Amino acid sequence: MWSSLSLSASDQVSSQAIDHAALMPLYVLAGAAIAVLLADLFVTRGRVWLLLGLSAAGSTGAAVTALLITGTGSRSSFCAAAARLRSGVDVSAACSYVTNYATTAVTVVLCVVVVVVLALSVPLLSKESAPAGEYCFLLLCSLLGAVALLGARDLLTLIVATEGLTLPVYVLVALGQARRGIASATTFFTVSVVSTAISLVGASLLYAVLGVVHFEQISQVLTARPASAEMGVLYAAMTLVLAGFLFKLATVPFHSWAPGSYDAAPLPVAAYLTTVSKVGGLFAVLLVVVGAMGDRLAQLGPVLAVLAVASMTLGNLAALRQHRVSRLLGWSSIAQLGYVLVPIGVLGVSGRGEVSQLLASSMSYLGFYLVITLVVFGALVLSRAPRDDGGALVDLAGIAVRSPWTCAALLFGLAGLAGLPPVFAGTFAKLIVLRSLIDAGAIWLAVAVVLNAVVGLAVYGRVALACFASSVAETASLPPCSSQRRRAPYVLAAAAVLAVSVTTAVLGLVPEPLFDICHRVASSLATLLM
Amino acid sequence: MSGRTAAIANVLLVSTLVVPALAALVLPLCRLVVARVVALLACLWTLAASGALLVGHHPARSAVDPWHEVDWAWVAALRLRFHIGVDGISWPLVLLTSLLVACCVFYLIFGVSGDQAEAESQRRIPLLLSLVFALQTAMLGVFMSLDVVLFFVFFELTLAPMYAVIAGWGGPHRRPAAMKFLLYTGLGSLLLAIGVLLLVSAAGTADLTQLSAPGGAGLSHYTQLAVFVLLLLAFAIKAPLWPLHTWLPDAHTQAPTVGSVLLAGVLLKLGSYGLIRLTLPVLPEAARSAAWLLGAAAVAAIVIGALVCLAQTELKRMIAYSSVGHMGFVLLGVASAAAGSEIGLQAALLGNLAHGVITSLLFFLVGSVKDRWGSTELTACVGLAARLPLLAALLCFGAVASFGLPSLAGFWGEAFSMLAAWQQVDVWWRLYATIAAVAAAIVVAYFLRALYYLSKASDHPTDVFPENVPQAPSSTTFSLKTPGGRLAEPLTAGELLAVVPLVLVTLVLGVWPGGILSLSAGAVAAIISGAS
Repeated sequence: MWSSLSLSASDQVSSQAIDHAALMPLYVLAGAAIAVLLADLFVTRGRVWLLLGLSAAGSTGAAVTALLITGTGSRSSFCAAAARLRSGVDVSAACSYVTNYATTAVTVVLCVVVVVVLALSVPLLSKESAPAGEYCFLLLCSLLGAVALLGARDLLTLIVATEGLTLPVYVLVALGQARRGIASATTFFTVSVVSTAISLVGASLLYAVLGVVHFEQISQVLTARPASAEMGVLYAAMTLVLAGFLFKLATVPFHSWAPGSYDAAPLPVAAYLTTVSKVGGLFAVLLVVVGAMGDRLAQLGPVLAVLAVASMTLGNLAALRQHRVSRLLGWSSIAQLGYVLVPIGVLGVSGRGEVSQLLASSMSYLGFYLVITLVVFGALVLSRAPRDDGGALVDLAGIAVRSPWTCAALLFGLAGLAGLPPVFAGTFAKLIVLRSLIDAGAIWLAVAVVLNAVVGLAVYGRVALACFASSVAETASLPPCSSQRRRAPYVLAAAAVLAVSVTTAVLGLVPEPLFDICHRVASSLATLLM
Repeated sequence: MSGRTAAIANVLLVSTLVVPALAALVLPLCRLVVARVVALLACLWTLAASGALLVGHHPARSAVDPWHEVDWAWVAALRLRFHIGVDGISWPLVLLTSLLVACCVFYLIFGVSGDQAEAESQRRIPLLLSLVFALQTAMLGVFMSLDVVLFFVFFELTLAPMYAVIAGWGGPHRRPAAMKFLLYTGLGSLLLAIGVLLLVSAAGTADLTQLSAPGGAGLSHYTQLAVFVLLLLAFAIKAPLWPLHTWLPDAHTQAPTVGSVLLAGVLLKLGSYGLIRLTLPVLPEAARSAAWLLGAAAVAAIVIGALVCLAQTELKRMIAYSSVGHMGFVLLGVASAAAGSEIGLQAALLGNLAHGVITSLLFFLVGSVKDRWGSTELTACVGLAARLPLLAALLCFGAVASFGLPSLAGFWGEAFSMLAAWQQVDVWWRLYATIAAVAAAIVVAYFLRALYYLSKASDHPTDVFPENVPQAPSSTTFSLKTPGGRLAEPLTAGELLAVVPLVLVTLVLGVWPGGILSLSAGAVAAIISGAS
């Protein structure tokens, strides 16, 4: 796409071949998004259901095309030829957009998650609390960005795709509670734009120094010129690029936008933020860290490890003090991201052989976290009226009596986040991270994870207790829920929660498939290093 | 043993975990009547199956030589296998767990007659039963695990149900107590996670039979020490060993009766069992070099437990603290075993069982007192013997057994752990034994003091009831409609069903400890010879 930039370095311009099969899921998503937009304009009767159906069909279709057409084999598009740079370094041919096992697997996961988010959005949309057309269109556009991000193999494609992922989300956040939503969305927007700008500065510095933007070629140039006068600039550039993506991931110290946005956003959007957005952010970081800077991991690793520990510590401690559910979950997601990043922090200090194992454990954690957090948000959606946000902790009081099933799902999810059996999914997630840390010899990181897990027990235990509080509001504030919950909109949401809960339970009993997939994804990512 | 018998034994083995787990899943969905039947069947089946596992026992030739075992793959990525089995060391504890759970179920489903409990608490009984069964699965799982990662998973599985039991059914200060329990023991079990993973990473296997082969897992000295410290902290929190015991009094005092019973009767044993099963055979060198430290902490626990009990004015809290002292004796036995004493290990095993039975008995009885009198303040219990002679007599029996009257269960563990310490010729160990003996005398003193209050006849009989009885803070257990109406109510069928088996076991263990000792003798000898 933008590889003409890098080609100009070798004064060679040729038209790039486009492998449409590789891009097929993107086409499907774009088509669905346009169809949603048009349907919103021209259809009046049963509009909401049609829009939801179209969006669900779009993301399912993208998943299916990813599986069938793109497949698990490697395909690439927008390739630049091998060249000799002005600096005298030979770089091999590299492509801007690649699909392989990793991209296909994660694409399917993201599309399924979006279908779940759509199901959770039904109560919100069917009450016309949010404009359904815009909502679905933006969700699909954001998914499009996320899927494009997975295949991006040069800095510019990656940055543009990341923007594609986040831009629609600002508006989605603002669709919630009128004033607070807009304020938070503005913060989110400002912070995000600044972070993109930072990434771009870093990318342009890198290009200025190295003359290439493809990860593969960056890695080759870095290897070919192990030490040079520009090292200082190089490190600055890498830090800037990485900082930009860490903003999107909301790790400390780039986290401040997250809790507010979670709190203001409608619950399904918050669920989207914790899932798709995080996967996208993690992939972006992995592509940059592993793909482009593989040889500089030893310098980057410790920094990432410190950031990860700071994230989990600050996230957990702040979550302890929260009185609003969504805000608490926002802080908790910052903490959970810490656990995800910790194994990557060890990458630099351990040998090459363990790279794929560390990546795999990081991804497994994220995989478990995805399903568990969907259970939590799903249960919250069920427990609230359509227009409500996450509400305060005290609003949970009496839920155990009012709607025992919802409460059971919520407790199930919370136990998973805390890593407590019988939700073995959460336990195995913690164990796999601990195992990878210990095998890599990073005992102090393992201890940090464990101490944080204990604080996490307090965080989620507190929410669990809130469900059983017998407040005065218990009888007084039987909100519209009791009458509305039985209605159709909630049926789909409840089915989605049930499906995700069952998935979590099954993954707890049979986690091997997830570990296998994560391992294969990690290996196919780790080949970037070779 | 023929293949067919072995297959049946394995089905029984797995059913001791599966049946309670299924019961825990099904019970919340049941109405009270159905729940009673389901719970009764499940606990009786598990008890019978646990007992039946004795068939086919054989003397152990090594530290872990299970009578029956099942070994299935589970999560290869974590080196976690579903590998369970029973042997002479774990079987008595398995049986104890099943027995105590059965007693708790009897207590819950027969203990409350129509007018005693309010509709609300009746409605929640299926849920409480479900948590009890979840706990049973976890506790049996820990005792039967032959895979250290599986051991950790079950160890951690005890947290959530017990937290829910305390937080949902506890006394007036249940929430802080439950949170303290969760954080404290949660820290313990996560430290265990690091220890176990470190062990597995260094040894390359998680199989306990391989890890506890003679000479330990063959780890380097420093790895052994690191793993040992982590495991010791984890088990010391659970056991609990002074100075890591501070979660215990609150949790025990605030927990409902069945919670206290399972907490004291079984959960504490997970700590001592872990030390015996994991640390001694797998990390013999580290254990030997830290034996003196463990011994010192154990003696401190005995002394401090005794002194604190002497200062208690509330019966339930006193019994809770007495666990610290009793577990101190068990750990003194473990410490002597780490230093190479076979008698010490046997004392620890017996002490474990005895404490489980006797303390559970006491908690059941104190629960009955609290249900009737609304308070267990010693001063409020004056005149109990006159009103409720049977309850007072049983309490007296429990107290006497608890302070270690010869011919009752409590005697053997304590006497032999002191003997084992004394036999370590080292002067320090003799000092430990001496101090422990003095503390044992204090234990007698505080139990006698409690008995004195219970049996004291009030000077002014009219004063005693009901005005002098402090009202329970939440009048849930004390019926206001009929003031004093429950004070002299005889023990219900459920209470008797829960208590009588424990009394019998106390007697049997007291007069015939050899029965249990002979089961574990082979494994004990193997552990000690492997350690020295």
